[in-house]
Amino acid sequence: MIARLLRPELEDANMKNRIATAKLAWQPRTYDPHLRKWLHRIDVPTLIIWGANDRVFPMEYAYAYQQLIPGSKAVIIPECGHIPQAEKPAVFVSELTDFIAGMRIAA
Amino acid sequence: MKFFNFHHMPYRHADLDAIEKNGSAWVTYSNRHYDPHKGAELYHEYLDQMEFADTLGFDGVCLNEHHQTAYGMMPIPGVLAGALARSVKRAKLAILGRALPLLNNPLMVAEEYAMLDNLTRGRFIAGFVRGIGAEYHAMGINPVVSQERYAEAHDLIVRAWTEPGPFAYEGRHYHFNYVNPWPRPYQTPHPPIWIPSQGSSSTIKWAAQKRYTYAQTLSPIAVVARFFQMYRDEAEKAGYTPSPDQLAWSNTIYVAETDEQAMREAKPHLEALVNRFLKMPVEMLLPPGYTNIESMKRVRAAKVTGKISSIEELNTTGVVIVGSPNTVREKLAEYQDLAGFNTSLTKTQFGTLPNDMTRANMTAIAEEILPHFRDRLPQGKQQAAAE
Repeated sequence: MIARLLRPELEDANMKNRIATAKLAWQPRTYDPHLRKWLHRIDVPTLIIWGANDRVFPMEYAYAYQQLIPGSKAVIIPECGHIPQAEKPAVFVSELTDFIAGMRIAA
Repeated sequence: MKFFNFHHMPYRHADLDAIEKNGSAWVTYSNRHYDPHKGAELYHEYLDQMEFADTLGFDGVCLNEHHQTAYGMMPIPGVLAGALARSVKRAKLAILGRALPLLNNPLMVAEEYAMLDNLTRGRFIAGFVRGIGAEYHAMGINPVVSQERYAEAHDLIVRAWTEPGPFAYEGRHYHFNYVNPWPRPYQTPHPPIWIPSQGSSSTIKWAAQKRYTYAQTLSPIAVVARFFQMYRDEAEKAGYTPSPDQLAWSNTIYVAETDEQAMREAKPHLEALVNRFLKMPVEMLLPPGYTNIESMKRVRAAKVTGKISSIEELNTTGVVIVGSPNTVREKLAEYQDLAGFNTSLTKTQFGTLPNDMTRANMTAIAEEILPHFRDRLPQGKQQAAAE
C-alpha cells in the first residue's frame, strides 16, 4: 500500500477506501481459493478484459481464466491498469460491442 | 508507586542484520532464524528473571502476547504464567494481555484466566488487548472487525465470570448454547482488569468508564501525560475521581553507577529493541480498519516505532529512563508528577540485554529505586485533583 500520500487532502478518502477493501478481502486475501475448480462450469459466452499493467492482479490471471473457462476469449488492453472500464472506456466498449455482435452473428 | 517487572521475552540472539534486511522482526522474519536450543535456554533465563523479580520485592511480574516475531517469544502467555503461578510466591502475576479479537473462542480466555487466578490464589491480573496491527497479518483475522470482536469477547468473558452458568450467549461473532466455565475466578467478582493501549481515544474512554487500569505502551512521557489526563477527564465525566493506581506507565529503566556508564551499557541493547525488534512498516503496524481514522493518524504521528531512534533521544523524551540511581530517581519522580501514574510497568530486560546485565539492573532498581518510591504518590496538580 501507499505509505506517503502525494495529495494529503485525499488522506481520509484513501483510508476509507483501504478499510472497505480490507473488510471485503482480508481473509482469504482478495480471492476465492476454490474458484479454480468451479470455473469450468461456466457455460455462457465469456469475454475476459484485462489491463496489461494491472498491478493488483497481473495479466497472467487473464490467461489462466481464459484456459479454465470453456470457449472464453481474453483481451489484454495495453497501457491500462486494474480498471479498464474506467481507464480505457472507449477500448473497453469497443471490445464489448464487438464481442456481443459476434455472438449475434454466431446465433 | 508499584513496580512490575514487564518482560517482552525477546529472542535476543536474533540476527539483527537479517532483521534489518527483512525490514521487520515481525510476520515475515523467517523462523529458520529461531534456534530451539538457544530459545529453550532463553525461556528458562527469562522465567528465572521473573522469579528473581519476586524475591527482589517487585510488586508484580507481567507477560504479554505477540505472534510470529523475534520481538517476543510469548504467543501463548498462559503457558509461562502457568509455570510462574507456583514459583512466583508473593508478587502479582499479570498477562497484559491476551489479544481477544484473534480468538475464535474467547471462553478459553475466561477459563485460562480463572485457572491462573485460582492457581495464584487471587494474585492474577487480567489484561485484555486487541494485539498490535502485525497480529492481524500473522493470524489472518480481519482488522476491520477487531474492535467489534474485542468488545464482544470482553463482554462475554466478564459475563462468564460473574453470571452463574449455564446461560446461552448469542453475539454477532460468538455463539454459545452453554456458557458455564469451571473453574470460576478466585477473586470476587473477577480478577482486576487492565487495559494496555497505544493511546486510542475510544479505548481510553472505555477503560475509564469501566474503572479498569489503563496502561500506556512505549511513548514519550509528554504523550503519556496527555493520554492519562484524557483518562482522568473521562473518569470525571463518568462521575468519579480515579486513583493514580489506575494509571500504569509501561517503560524501560536501566541503572548503572554513573549516567555515562548506564548510557554506554544500555545503548546497543536498547537501540536493538527500538530499531530492530520493534521496527515494522506502517501498514503492518496499522492495517486498515484496525482503529478509527482519527486515532490512526494520531497514533501514527505519536509512535516511536518505525523511526530510527537513539538512546539519547529516547532518554531525553522520556520513553525510557537510563542513568545513575540519582538521575533515575529524579526523572521517575518528575514523570510521576507530570503524568500522575502510580504503577510502573518496567522492562528491566530489553532487546539484546544479556542475563548478567539484566540481573544487575534488576538488583540496582530494587535496591536504589524501589525503596524511594514505595510510599510515593504523584505530587502537585495530580494529587490535588485526586483529593
